[in-house]
Amino acid sequence: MAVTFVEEVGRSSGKHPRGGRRLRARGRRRLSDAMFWLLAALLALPSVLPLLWLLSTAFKNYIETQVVPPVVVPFSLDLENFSSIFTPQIMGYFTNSVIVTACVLVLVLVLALPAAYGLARLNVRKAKDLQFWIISLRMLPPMAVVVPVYMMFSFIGLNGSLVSIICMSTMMNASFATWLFSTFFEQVPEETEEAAQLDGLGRFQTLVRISIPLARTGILTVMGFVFVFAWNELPFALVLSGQLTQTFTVFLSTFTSTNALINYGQMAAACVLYITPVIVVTALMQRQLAAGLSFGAVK
Amino acid sequence: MTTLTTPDRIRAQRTPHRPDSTRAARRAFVAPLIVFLALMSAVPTIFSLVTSLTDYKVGADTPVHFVGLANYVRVVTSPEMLATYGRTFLVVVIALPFELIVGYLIAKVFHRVHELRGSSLIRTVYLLPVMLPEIVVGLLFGYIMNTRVGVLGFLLSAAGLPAPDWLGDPRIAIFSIMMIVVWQWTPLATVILYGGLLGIPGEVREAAALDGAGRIRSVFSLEVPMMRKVIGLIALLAGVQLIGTFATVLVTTQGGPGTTTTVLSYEIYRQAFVFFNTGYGSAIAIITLVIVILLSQLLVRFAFKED
Repeated sequence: MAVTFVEEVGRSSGKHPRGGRRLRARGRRRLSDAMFWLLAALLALPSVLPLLWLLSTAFKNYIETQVVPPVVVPFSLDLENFSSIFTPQIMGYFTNSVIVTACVLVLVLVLALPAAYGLARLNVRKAKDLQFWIISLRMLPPMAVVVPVYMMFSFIGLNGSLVSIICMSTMMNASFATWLFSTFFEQVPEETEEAAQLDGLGRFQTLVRISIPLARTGILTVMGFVFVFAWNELPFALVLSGQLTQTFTVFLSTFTSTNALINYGQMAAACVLYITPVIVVTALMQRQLAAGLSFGAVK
Repeated sequence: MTTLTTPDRIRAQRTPHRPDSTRAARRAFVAPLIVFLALMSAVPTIFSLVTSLTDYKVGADTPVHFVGLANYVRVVTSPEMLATYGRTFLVVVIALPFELIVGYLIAKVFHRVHELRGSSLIRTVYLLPVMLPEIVVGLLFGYIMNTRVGVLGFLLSAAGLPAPDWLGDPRIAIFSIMMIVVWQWTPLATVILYGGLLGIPGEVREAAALDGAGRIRSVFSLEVPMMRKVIGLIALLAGVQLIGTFATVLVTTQGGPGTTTTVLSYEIYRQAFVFFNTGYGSAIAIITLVIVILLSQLLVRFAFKED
């Protein structure tokens, strides 16, 4: 990155061989650009250094995780930590996470997409009030929500099943997604939809064949966020899961630091394995991160 | 056209080109979600309201008694519970302004370089912590802040500085928790503020500069008023986030040493699912929900209001 930037500085100041003072002012501007660029990069460093530490720890053997001064780069590149995770039991937790996240993604699409379209386009009475109610569900502290939910599910005998976790995660994410989907559907030009309807398409076909394709970047972004939120979810899974239905985040919660015998290498390997999909999705959504995280308030 | 009665005409004007937005279509589109959300929020609330009036304990065979408002009285009179609310309040009033101010300063730097190559990559890397599971962040910092093998303590002593027992010292453990939370969530405030700064048109800035507004002046008389909604939104999202702090505490201090890091969400978990005081836990959860709903309703309308 730094190299390309320096090249650009050289190239563009050479392109304008104008009067001395102007050139010097431009040069000063370029220099301050470079300083601020460096400052921005330095400010991002605290975000990434602990993560690099996590990555390095994942490849350390037990001794290397326990010595002082700490080992920075584990040249032994021990893969023991990773192989110790690939047991049927722990991979079962991973599979549970995959199942929960996949179901939440499908349910959110089925529930939130039509509802968002309806709220944006179909003159629902009090649409704004409904939307405020829906989004405020997303604002509740999960641990306060899960106490009542736990009792409901134990009453109908669904505690300890993946169904209960999926329902709660769907509720939180559908409210987030409905809000954002609506803002995207509002941006689809109404004339286009009207033209489609004059051509004889019904409401549902208009949604599927016109509006969804036109809003697809936004929809994909939201689904990216739903993936991350459902994947990362702990409080619901911790309370509602049973022995066999633990998700991977519940498994991770067993590595508490009050436990003196914790194997940090294994812990780090499990974390690295679990956050890799999140980092891939984040990289894919780079341009849309701000819009999604601010619930559409920032473009 | 002339035969339209008045309400029809009004409707025709309001919805000129929506021939088949009938009630049936509306129901079919919107109802499934509304029914699902209503079921998942109303039914549990009723269960919880009823339970909070009893001495019910999950899993215990003891008979259940109706105890009236005793659980609620216990919540608002127990010194431990009041300390828990106070601690949570402390986390919000320290971490939230920190996230806003530091987030703003970093957003200014990002805004300064936003047209330069590579700045988008820098922003994404900087934002990574926000996307990670809270539990992974907690585990990672539990290791980094460990007194025996943690790298933070090692770096501090190597620099000749005192290395405190971050998570084991009752006086500073809560601030260590705040450090972890702030590390993870300040980038969220930054990107939203950065978006707000991008939204201020260049002409407005130039006009302010022509009027002789200096750097500091333009922050308070231009940027803050123009980003009123953005700041409200951060207060809402970060406030909700901070009140919900749970996984970080669960894997680093488990509320200790003593109860010095027992924040609200962790206390609800402990009462309801560790001690199985289900009735009491329900009362705490309901009081918390009422407080958060009142606060967030105010902020949601403020932050998302149409201009």
